[in-house]
Amino acid sequence: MHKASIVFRRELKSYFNVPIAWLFIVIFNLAISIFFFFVQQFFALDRADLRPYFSLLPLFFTILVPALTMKMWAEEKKQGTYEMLMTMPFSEFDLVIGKFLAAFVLLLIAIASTVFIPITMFLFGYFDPGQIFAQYIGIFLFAAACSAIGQYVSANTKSQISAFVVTMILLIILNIFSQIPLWFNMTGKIADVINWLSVNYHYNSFAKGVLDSRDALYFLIITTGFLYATMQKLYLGRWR
Amino acid sequence: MIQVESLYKSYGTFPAVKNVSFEVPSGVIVGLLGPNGAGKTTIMKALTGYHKPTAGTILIDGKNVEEDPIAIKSMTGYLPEGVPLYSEMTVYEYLEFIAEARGVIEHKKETIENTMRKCGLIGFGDVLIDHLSKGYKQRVGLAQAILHNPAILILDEPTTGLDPNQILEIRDLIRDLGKDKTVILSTHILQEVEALCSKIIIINEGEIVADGSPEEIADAMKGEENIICKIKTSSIDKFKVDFANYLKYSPKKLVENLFQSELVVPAQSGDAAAESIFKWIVEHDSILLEMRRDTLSLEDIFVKLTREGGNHA
Repeated sequence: MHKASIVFRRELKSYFNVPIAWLFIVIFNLAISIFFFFVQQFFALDRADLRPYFSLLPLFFTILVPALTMKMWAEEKKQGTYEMLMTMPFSEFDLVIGKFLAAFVLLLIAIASTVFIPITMFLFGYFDPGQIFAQYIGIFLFAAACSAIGQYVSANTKSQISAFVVTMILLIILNIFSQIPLWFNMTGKIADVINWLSVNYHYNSFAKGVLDSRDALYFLIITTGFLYATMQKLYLGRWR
Repeated sequence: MIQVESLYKSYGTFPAVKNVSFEVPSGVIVGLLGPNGAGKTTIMKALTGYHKPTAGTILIDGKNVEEDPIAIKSMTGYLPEGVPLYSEMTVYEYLEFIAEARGVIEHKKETIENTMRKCGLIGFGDVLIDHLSKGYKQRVGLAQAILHNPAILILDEPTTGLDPNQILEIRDLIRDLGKDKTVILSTHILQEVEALCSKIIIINEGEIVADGSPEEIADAMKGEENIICKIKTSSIDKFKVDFANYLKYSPKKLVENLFQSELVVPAQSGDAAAESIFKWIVEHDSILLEMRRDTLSLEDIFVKLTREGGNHA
């Protein structure tokens, strides 16, 4: 884990050096504010509810996270630093976890930077701390899943643009899965399966303030699954 | 000590390295020589553990690269072709990352500073790598390879793309490093090998075509030796006939122009031939402008081995 922390620190430093991290945080804040205060007309709603805020976050993550994760491996491969990295005493685990944590922490920083929105909310009334807790857990899990998916896609290409587009499409598909049963009037087992696959389906219960271990499990499966697949991808790359 | 045995590596169906075996004793500078695409880089990538061999074994100080990759990685320093670096970091930040990754924790600062001094990077610590010239990037590349004081250095075309002065500087640095390390460097520049290496491995189309010291290889390759004479004489045709009659040598080749002629004489009989030729020419009113023994240069050997040997390429 110590080795992973070395990778983590380098990655995070790089995000802020480039300076993609600052750009990400600024755009994220601008977008969230515009949507929340103007498009959703928070003040007109006259309701102290954080759900509109938490239901916006996945949408922005779908568009913005791919921009963050696209360079993770694609750039290393393009620059040739990939080879350097793979010949240093790191295991695949150190590399993948280190990079994952860097992107994840950057997303946490971005979420934290929009904390002014919930704070504005507190001026309007009482909040159930339990609900807010569940909502934050939900978005953290969502962020983790996005970083893992983005990293996996980036490990499969040399081109950052392809990584960006493919990650975004994957995230959109995971988001709109829950719409499919509605569009086709599906019911029963098939609808259940499709719903279960959808990120939204699980995220929404967190957004409502419901802490359900089955929903958490879904995100953990997605996250660890994609991280594991990335490690395998790097490992198998040595036989090419 | 590096032992490579029956190394075979293919990319898909393309065999990049076929049945390569060689040994590198500790503390020497070895040149991997070969035309582009001969398999030099593939061998180096296998040595560093970056690529798994399709077949064969690589032992470094008795440790198998495949079985103990992390141990191998801490014993070796590697400079890949093209010197890939994190351009968004400063020189110091980058070397600090490498130091941590390599487990240089005690005396981290001193180690980084010493390495920077060795590579002529003092004063460049705060410079972004992106802003460095090619020569300085190369130095940073070397610095990251030697930072953890590895016993083995693997340098893939370390001087490609540098200007002549930079090449000399980097060579000096490599020669210096070679005093207490085993260095394997790949190149297609022949002077580099002549200037640095005490052992050469010539590779062509994925196979070793020669392996030994430069002199050993030249010895094995030279075949028949010739004496080349440049002479000035009134009638070269008469000279040739006389020469053949008297000395019983028939000149092989004759390059002729207005002022001088060049004779190539086979010299099986060793030094005595040169002496008698010299005497004869002087006694027969001709002027000897130049006389030398024709030995194969590394360049001739290289061309011979990689072109004639693989003329189906």
